[in-house]
Amino acid sequence: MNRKFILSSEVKSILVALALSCLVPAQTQEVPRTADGHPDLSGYWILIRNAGVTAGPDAAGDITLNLPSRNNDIANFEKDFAVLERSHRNKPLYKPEHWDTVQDLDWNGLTQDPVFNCRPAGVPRVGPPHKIIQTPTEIVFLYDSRVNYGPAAYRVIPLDGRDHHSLQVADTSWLGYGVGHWEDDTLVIESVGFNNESWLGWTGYIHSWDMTVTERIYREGNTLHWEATVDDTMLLEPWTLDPQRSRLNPDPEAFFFGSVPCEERDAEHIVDPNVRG
Amino acid sequence: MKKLKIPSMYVFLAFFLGASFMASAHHAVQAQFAVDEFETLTGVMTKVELINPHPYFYLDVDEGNGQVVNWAIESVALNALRRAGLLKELAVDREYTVEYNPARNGEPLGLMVAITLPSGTRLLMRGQDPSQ
Repeated sequence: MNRKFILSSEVKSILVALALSCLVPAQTQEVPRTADGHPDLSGYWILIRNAGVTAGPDAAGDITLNLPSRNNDIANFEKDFAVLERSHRNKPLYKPEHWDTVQDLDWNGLTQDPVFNCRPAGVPRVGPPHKIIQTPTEIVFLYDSRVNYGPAAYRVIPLDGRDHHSLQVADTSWLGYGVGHWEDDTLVIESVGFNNESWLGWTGYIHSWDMTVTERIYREGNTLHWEATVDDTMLLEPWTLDPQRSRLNPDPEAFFFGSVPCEERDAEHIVDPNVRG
Repeated sequence: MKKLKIPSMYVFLAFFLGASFMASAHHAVQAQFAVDEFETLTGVMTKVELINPHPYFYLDVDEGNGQVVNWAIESVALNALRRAGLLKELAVDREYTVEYNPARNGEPLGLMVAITLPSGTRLLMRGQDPSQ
């Protein structure tokens, strides 16, 4: 399990750039509140991360889709992603009996990754919601349909103090079933009822039916902070994923594109199935 | 050749919303395509599949020896094409020029690097170093 990574200067520069991007101070403006006094988390939220940008049309009328790639070489786009994922220091600690499986999926599991096969990313891999609808008794999370998140999805999370329904606990679902409560200005969501098909991350991080996920969400100005902690019998200790931040989309005309079918067509054409990045 | 008039709304969306479209990958393209080889074809669109994780475009290409081969071209994620506001410019029975990385298995299959529309507008996929 212990592999050491030797990073080139180019990769190091990308890591530094990404790290610096996380140090942007949050806005200090007041957090809007709902009538019941809780922070208002409603709105469209854009994940702050290293992403492609559409530019144009330029003077010639042409349009460029820029993908973040080392040395401006688009061929490095996925290689960079793989290096960043594998060089990450924050890793779940699995019990020894699972080490071989996780390592094999990490290095050889290209076509076994559920997201590769158009399956949902699941919670917590799906990350923070892309839109939030909030009422005093429940909060609704909407997730846009994108390659790395899987199909569009939604979660309806009660905030009225109820516990999980017995049928939810007995279910095996991709997103689990969450119940939420406020701890001061932080929304805490505890979810159960997961399947054992989703991965926690790109690097083959599997989990069992016993997984519980606790998400903590708070708003600072127009920045949404999200983190999730996974507890599972496959792990030696609970694992907290790296926090993620989203920024409020100020566009009053913001919208989601409609969801589209997902059909995996690449697997049959792949020459080297062991190349994941 | 006349250039395409891009609706101002789409340009607004592309810039104002940040227009991020693919922060991680579906698969390692180098496992499927020769990413250091660049070829060009011109053909007539026969089928458009606007699906995730990657749209596919099929074009009849005259090989010059009396044979017409139907090529499959895989593109970047659909949301990227949507944000460019070009979906209705990608239609059957029209002629396109496609720059692509060829499939490593020798099939008539490529990974789209750029596509030139009948209007003359060129849609280009490009790498941009995040440290710059």
